[in-house]
Amino acid sequence: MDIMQPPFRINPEPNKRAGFRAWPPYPSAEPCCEPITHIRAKNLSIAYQGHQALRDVTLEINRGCITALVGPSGCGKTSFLMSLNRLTDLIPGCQVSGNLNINELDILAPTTDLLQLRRTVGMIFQKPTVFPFSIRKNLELPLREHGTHHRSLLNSTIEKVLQQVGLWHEVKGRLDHPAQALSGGQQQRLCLARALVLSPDILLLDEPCSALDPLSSGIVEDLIVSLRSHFTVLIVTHNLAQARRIADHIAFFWSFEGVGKLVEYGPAQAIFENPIHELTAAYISGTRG
Amino acid sequence: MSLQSRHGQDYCLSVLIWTGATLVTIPFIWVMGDLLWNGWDHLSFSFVFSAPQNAGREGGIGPILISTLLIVGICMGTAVPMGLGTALFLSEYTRHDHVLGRLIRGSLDVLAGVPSIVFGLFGNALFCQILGLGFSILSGGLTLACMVLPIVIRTVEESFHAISHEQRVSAAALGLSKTTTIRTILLPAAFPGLLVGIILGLGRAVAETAALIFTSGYVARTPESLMDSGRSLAVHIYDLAMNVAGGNPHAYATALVLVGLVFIINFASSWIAARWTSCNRLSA
Repeated sequence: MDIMQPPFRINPEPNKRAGFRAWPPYPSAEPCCEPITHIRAKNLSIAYQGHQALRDVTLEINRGCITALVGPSGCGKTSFLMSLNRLTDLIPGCQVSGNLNINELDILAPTTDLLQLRRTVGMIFQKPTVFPFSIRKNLELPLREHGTHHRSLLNSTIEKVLQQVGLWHEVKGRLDHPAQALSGGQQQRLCLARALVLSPDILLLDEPCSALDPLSSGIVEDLIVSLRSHFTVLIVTHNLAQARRIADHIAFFWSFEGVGKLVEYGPAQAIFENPIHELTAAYISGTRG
Repeated sequence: MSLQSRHGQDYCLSVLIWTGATLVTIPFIWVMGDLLWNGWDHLSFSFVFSAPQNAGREGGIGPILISTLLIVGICMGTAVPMGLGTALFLSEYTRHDHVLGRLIRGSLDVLAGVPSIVFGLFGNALFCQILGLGFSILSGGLTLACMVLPIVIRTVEESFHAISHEQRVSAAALGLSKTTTIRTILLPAAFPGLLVGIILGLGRAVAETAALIFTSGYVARTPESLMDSGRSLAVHIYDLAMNVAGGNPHAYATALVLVGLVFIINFASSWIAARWTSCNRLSA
């Protein structure tokens, strides 16, 4: 075993994990990033009650890439993420300005169908947020809401997504048991399955491993890697080692007198090995942040 | 401070707390003991179901029990849907610091503190006279509904607030509409709180006298419709104790029935809440 490998990466080859025959389900395609712009932000600014939290963010995110948003707390990473599925609308006094597009869709337009947008853009939060009912009902609820009612189709979709997140063998005998009885890592994977059940194009992950133990964190991280090239993934993480392991692109944010700004954005290797901005270099080396 | 004196302080505090807790239970035991002592002998199947005779000195409380159930039924049938709607509005459709929300909450707090006799006069003016419902079970039930609304609304609103914000955000992130979120996630989670609101409201409604004297009246016969006047248990107790010489034994027995009714309602609600919670946890 490579001595440089972080200890919590329990299995560098998850396909060979005991007990999961075909896991992860998505063989990671190479090259992972098609150079097709999927998400485009131009001069995006976010303010809460008039106080600017994020200013003039301009970047283009490629389809099928894993893009990690890194930076210290309070620099607007999560705000940026939440503007992509307009969850910022739920925050009283939050104003988003600038341009934000997914393909040709103008996300910030008042006419945008939010329910449809959020079907296309799935999101996972820091804390697993399973609903207080059974595993099956957790997965059925979004499906039924978006028009799937046929029992056999519901069952097959549920089995498919649970297999995608490697949870099927663990829960297939207790789908009608409460989801809250699952472990933290299992709950987070169920949340991921619940997002995948709607076949989104984009997945927003807000520190999905930070509330998990190292073992569960490793499993969820393997899973995220397996999603590469099948979904456009944006992940907020404070774990630079994790960003280095999984991300294709890095967006580095910093807070300047309380206002978040995008400092540097580019391929992960370039950012980690040859950062242009001195703040990026200091943050990566651990001398700042 | 020495170790010994700190032990002494702990001892004194324990004695104070135990004394306080014991003193609190004394009035309850006293009231229950008094009711059982004076009322148990007069309590029988025929007392509960037969009509009163000789101004209540003889006979039973059958029609009064029916009137009470009708009044309370109208009260809760009106107050619960309205209370649930208002609580949903306050917790899900207005911001906590919104002017309208603050105004409604402030009004409810004032309403909750208004003496019941004032509600009686208001109910008499509005329901009996202006709306022309007269002294009737309907007037009484609606007046009681106004009285218990603040309790129901504030209790249910609190139970909505107790649901974590993350549940709402993750429901929104899945593209669930507000209606679905309320129906499938918030209402089931707030159901035990709604039951608590109903219990508290029922407790106040079933024990009310002053507001009903002015609205549903005194008539002790079995009501034929909701527009008939009807006497509630609490009004019957008041009447027997204050206006009828020799009415005390039956007043005690009626009080015993009233307290029994409150116990049954409380236990039934707790049982439903417990079953609801365990069903939700196990197989929802």
